[in-house]
Amino acid sequence: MRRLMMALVTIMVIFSLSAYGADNPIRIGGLAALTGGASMQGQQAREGALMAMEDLNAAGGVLGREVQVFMEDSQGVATAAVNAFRKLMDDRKVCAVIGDHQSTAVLAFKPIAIQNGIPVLATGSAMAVTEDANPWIFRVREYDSLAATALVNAAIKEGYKKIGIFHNTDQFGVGGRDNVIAAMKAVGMAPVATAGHNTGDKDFTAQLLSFRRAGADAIIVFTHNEEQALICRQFDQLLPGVAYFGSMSLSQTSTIQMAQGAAEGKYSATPYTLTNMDARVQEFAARYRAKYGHDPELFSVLYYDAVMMVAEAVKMGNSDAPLSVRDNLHKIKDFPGVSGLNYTFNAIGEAVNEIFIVKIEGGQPKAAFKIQG
Amino acid sequence: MDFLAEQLPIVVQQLIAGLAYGCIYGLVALGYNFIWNAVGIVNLAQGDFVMVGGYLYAASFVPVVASWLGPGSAGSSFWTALLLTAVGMVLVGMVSQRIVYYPLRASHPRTIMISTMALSIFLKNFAIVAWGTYPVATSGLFGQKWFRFDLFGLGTVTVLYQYVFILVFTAILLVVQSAFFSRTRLGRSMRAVAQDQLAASLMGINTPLIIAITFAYASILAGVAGVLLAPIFLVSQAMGSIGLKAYTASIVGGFGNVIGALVGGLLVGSIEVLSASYVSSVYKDAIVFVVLIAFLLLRPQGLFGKKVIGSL
Amino acid sequence: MGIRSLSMKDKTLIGIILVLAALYPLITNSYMKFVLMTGIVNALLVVGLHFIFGLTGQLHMAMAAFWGVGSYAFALAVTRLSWPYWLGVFAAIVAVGLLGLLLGFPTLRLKGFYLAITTIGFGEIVRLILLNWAPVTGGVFGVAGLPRPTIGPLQFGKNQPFYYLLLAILALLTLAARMIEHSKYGAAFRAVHDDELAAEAVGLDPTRLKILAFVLCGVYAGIGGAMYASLMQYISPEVYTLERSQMLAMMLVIGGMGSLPGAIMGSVLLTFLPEVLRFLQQWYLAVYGAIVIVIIVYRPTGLWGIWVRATEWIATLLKRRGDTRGAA
Repeated sequence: MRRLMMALVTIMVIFSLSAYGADNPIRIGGLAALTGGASMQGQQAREGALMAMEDLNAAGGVLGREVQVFMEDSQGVATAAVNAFRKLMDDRKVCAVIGDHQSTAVLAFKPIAIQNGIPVLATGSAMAVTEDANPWIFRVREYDSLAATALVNAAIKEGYKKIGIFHNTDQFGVGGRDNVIAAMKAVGMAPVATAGHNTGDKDFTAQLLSFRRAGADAIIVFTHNEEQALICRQFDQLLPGVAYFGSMSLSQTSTIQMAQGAAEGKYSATPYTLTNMDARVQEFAARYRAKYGHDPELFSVLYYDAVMMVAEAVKMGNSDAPLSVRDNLHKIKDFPGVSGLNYTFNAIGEAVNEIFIVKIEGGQPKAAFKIQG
Repeated sequence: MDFLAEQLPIVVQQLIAGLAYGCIYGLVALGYNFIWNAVGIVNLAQGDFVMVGGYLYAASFVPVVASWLGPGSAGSSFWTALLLTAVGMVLVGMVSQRIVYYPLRASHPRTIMISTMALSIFLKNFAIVAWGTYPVATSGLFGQKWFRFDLFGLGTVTVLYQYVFILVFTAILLVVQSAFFSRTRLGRSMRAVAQDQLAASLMGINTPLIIAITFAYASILAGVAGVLLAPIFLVSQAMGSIGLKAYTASIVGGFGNVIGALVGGLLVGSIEVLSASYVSSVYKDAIVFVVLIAFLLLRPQGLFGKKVIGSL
Repeated sequence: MGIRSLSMKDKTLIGIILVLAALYPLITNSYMKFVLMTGIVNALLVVGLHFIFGLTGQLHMAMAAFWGVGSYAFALAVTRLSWPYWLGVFAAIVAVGLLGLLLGFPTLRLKGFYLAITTIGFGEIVRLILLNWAPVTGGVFGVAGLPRPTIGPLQFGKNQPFYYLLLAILALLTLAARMIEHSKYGAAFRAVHDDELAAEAVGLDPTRLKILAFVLCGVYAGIGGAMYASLMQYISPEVYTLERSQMLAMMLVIGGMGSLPGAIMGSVLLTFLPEVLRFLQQWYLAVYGAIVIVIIVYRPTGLWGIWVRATEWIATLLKRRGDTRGAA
């Protein structure tokens, strides 16, 4: 027992020393769910962020200094996210924090970030993240109403009139639902049925049948990869002939593979698609695949781009002071990302203002059209 | 009347799914019961054994076996991988009981419960490290094939082949199990230990070994549940949540009772799918637990159990 | 009454509170300071759990639900109803106390693992309600903008004063718990724990005692829940899961079942453990689980047992030294 404690203490000392050993590096923090139910997205985020760090250092660092990216686990839970954020801020002394990809986590640490003056490049999509237009809070991801409006418009454009909404009961799904309802209301429509499911549910028969009973001719599904894939599979059997418009997760490689063919013919809204022939997208995807053995997904490219933008802001201001980083992030114009997007932060800190509607064909998300926010 | 006729195919379809899930809960619940009968504790990591079984099968053995046997061997690779998973689960069960139960066997059951909880946390997070964060999709014998049949002209019922397979497989497993317990020496020893440990050891039975084997068998059952579910659900960390439903099933059926576990499972599975349809899809888990609490208050011995006795 | 007349447990308790008080300014890192605050809040909850899990020996696995209802009662009272801070805390105490009564009454006949699964089920029901009953609880978006307390002219908005307030509350509640433990009720709780039938035979009413333990646990959880909400200043429903109930139970068991100083030691240690393991990246929670298993298996008496042995060891060492000196 004593030996174990000794070993632990030694390891802790070594690690705390190593954190301060490097020669005044530029420190950037990242938050993602590295454990728990959302750890797949967390892994992608981590891979993207670390790859950005390697690329920056391979190119000689920033301002001649080494770049260090610290990824901490938020578990997708407020308590853990606050601890992780404080660790980045107080222990790692980072100049900016990227993430979290779950809005609950962002909302939990947002007041601390503002109070202590740490710029946050959030990757959660809830409207509440940026709605108070605080200068410290940025978002590098599509926001709920952009995706919701795009999906509603796409469904209308394809001629569907009786639309149902199927959503996860977490923050992402409920935000999606509310924004879909708002977008439909704006064009004088209302959903024919609305149903929810909890994270981790596996059987969606009851909800899918409720859409059949309501006579829906299309459904809009706001949920995460695992549930999205299972819903696709069950949907094909229970609602033949109905159209399917899924949130971002449906357009990602992992979901298409998990759906085992059931993603075919379904639509999705995403700011990032692998079939984008932009050279930046293809070059990055090839390098990422070579390094990690699987396709990059939305969070891989967003975390990569966010790290790059923080580095750019450091360069522009010639300083890694959080205030300088914040001010220079606001000055960034059309920053070319490996997502294929060009980022400019608007007055409330949104950088992603356009979104693709894709249709899954032959296991590939084929871009159907682009919608501007 | 029209409403009933219209609803009938849907109810039938839901019930088939509910019964299939019920079989799974029943298998896991059997595991709870065997351990309960043998040593009077509940292994709260039982649900995570389902997940481990699912991962062993879908992420470890299926790819390996498929590459051994080459293409076009779906059937034999399923059975080989299933067998390997069972062997793997024997190890998991034996090692777990040696670590979280055996050293504590004289402690308060509460302490053992906590140590199985810690095991559950360990397994959940170990799975991420061992098998990665991506949920694993696998196809099993039938993959995503569904079949449809017409229900007395009222409408079409759409069912996964895998649901039917689960029902048949569970039935066969139970027959084999009952033969094992009544016909084989090992089975009889396991029953003897479950009935009275002291008497069993006086009869010359190696009680600690039999207890270890009981744990191993309970984990095989959980592992099989994982294999059967893998093609319908994806294999991921979240799979462990089945443990709670199965625990509920074993209580509803009557704790410690073999038939009770299965009937309890079927009941919980059916309540779950029907309440999702007719009460609330969001609160369906809450409804299962309300039924559980109602059962405990009105009939704590469950459907088939003896009166609750003893103080724990 | 001098310090020598105090029992070892009491001395340790006073020592722990003093160490915790001295520790805060010694920690230079505000992240670790915050983790320490979380540890104190966890200790409030675990001391409450001690009544039911430790003293009375009932497997109460719905602590996260108690805690969550406490947080929400406080948060909704001070935000939606604009109640003053301490009235909000009182609302949390009443709400969780009532919840303890509600859970206590019907489940009294249930024992051991039957009670465990009932409380697990109850906890899940409460969690789903907190998550899905959006008009009241705010649903997934949680409740933001929660205040820190004031007492008259004293402000506790900053972390440091708030920490000492939390510590004072913990000291008071631990003192109260200690007094209850040593009163006739404490003895009665233990009697129920050891043998319910025997307790009944000597004229105790196990039913009433168990309800009392549940309500007491509820009162502590109410305060703990309110303090958690006030500490985080934002609450959301995904926090109050079965895993949290399990963690709180683990804190109690790791601390050493049935001892108040152990409960506090366990809470603080297990709050820090995952944080100091973070450097292991995705391994850290697996290692955390493994460490908990190792402690439970090799030291079933928990930190309290280790502490008792350590002090005995030091005492004999000192004594031996004294003896040799005397001989010389």
